[in-house]
Amino acid sequence: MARLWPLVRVRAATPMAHVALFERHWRQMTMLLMLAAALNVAAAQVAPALPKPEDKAMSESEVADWLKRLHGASRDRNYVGTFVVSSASGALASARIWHACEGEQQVERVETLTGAPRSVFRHNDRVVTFLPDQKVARTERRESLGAFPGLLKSLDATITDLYSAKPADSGRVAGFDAQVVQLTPKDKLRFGYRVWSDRQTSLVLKVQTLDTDGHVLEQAAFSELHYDEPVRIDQLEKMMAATDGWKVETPVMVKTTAQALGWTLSSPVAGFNPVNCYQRALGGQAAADHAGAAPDNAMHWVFSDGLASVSLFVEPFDSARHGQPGQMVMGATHTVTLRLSGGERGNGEGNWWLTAVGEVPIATLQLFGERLRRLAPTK
Amino acid sequence: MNNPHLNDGAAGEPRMEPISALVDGQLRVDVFANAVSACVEGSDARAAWHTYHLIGDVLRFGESAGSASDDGFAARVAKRLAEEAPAVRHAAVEAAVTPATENVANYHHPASESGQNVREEAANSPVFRWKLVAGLATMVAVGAVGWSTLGSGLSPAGMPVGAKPGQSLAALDSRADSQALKRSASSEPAGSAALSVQAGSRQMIRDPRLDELLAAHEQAGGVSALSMPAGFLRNATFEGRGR
Repeated sequence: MARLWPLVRVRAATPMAHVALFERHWRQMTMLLMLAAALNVAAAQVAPALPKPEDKAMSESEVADWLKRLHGASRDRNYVGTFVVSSASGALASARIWHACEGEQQVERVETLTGAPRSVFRHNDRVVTFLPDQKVARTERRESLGAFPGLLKSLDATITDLYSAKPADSGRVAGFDAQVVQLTPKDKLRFGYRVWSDRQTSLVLKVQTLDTDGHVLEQAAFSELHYDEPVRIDQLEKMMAATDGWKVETPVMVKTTAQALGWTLSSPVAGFNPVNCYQRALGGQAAADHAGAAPDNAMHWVFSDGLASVSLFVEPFDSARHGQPGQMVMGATHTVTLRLSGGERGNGEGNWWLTAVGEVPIATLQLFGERLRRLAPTK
Repeated sequence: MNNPHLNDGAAGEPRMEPISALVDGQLRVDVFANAVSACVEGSDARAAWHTYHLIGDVLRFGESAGSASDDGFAARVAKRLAEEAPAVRHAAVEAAVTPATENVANYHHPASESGQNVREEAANSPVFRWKLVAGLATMVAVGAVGWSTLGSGLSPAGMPVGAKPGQSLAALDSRADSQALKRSASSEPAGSAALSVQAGSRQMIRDPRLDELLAAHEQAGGVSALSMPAGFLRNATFEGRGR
């Protein structure tokens, strides 16, 4: 075998000799390449190229700490950014976000950039939605937003029971280094999530909802984010209160219990705990337009497993409006409508129409539909 | 020298005109042949030939392009070649002989198979087997690098900086995710998210009541550890309803 070092000492006198030199030293080149390959393989065996995420799941306390950090992040600082929601079907929606906080006051403004124009303002748990196309301003109070610190405590345990939380490979979102946690469901009744949070501030930057096969159903993320922008709370509050000239609508709802309205589940759907129940007056707009028409009353029963929520709307069956049962998918939100069966049980369940909505698989919503039972009247 | 043309004129002094004409390229046919043979045979004619070339270079370029005539150089090279060639031929012949006598089965000398006319291959001619081995080694090296990269896993990448809202989903996501999204997209109709889905014979009609219910779900049903801020922002942004 020729010596290795002549490779460097040989001088080529003519252009053709360069080629000749290369061809003559195929043996040395071959040896070098094989050596490189062997070293690379050996290196790969000895030490992985990228740091691998831990294989064991986060404990309940670790999950609790992580969630607490996520919530604290948005309460501490102002930010402005662009938020983009995209679904597997190809739909894309984006909005401009302003967030300001002062002590306990949290104010947010969301201006949609796609679709029909919409401005949503939030001050703690009060939300006002301006719809310029109809000149309507909807005001409502969202309990789930205000109740958080206490609610969170009860959710931690549920989440660890139902999902396995593991750190995943980190990434970058909107220019910020993010830490990733993957929440894998332990059964097929719910979706999985991947959450990116800013390594420094813990603000949630991106959330992916994954279906039961692990495919991404929906992604909601900041495409642009600027911290500590000078957003004035008082200005946002002023914009929020500017409802003159707008038709103000407020949903009519009464907090109650499912039992009071005469409904129960034959057996609970695993992991989903009832959270709230309301009686709503639906079709208020139609009632106002056609004088004399009474709004319909419907039960709105809310369940949650800590990360996903399900709403069951039960209203009296109306053959004019309610036809075939159906299904709908909008990103991660799935909807199932069906006429409650139960003729054989003989307690008149067949007179009701169920609309089940939730960020859960269709099968889960159908399970709710099968287990919903009308309580026998107690009187 | 017995070339009559060149020996005319003064005794012992060859005539330079044919040489000059030779350098100028004016000679033809047998006169040309004679002049060339004179240069070959006579050192004086050859010296004259070199001188004329030198004069021409100086006149044209102002300097001499090449070295002075060196009769010895050509002779030396010829001598070396003659010395070398028999040695090379001897080695080739021995190599040809050895396999025949020792009967080494896998020794292959290309020249020996051609028979008597043993011509050694030039030292810098390519040997195909090494090209093959080198190509294979390259592939192995590339494969090893690629394998270790794949083995360590593709990390789910974050969004690119400054991604505009109008970009398609594939651009926003990491490649693995965008492929996953494309797969699940096949189970949903492409286009707006607000389309009804046909499940068997069922089709859901979008009506204002449904919109109202979806809004109610958004309002009161967002009980999730992720609802602040991501869930709220998602609901506020996602135009799934056409109100």
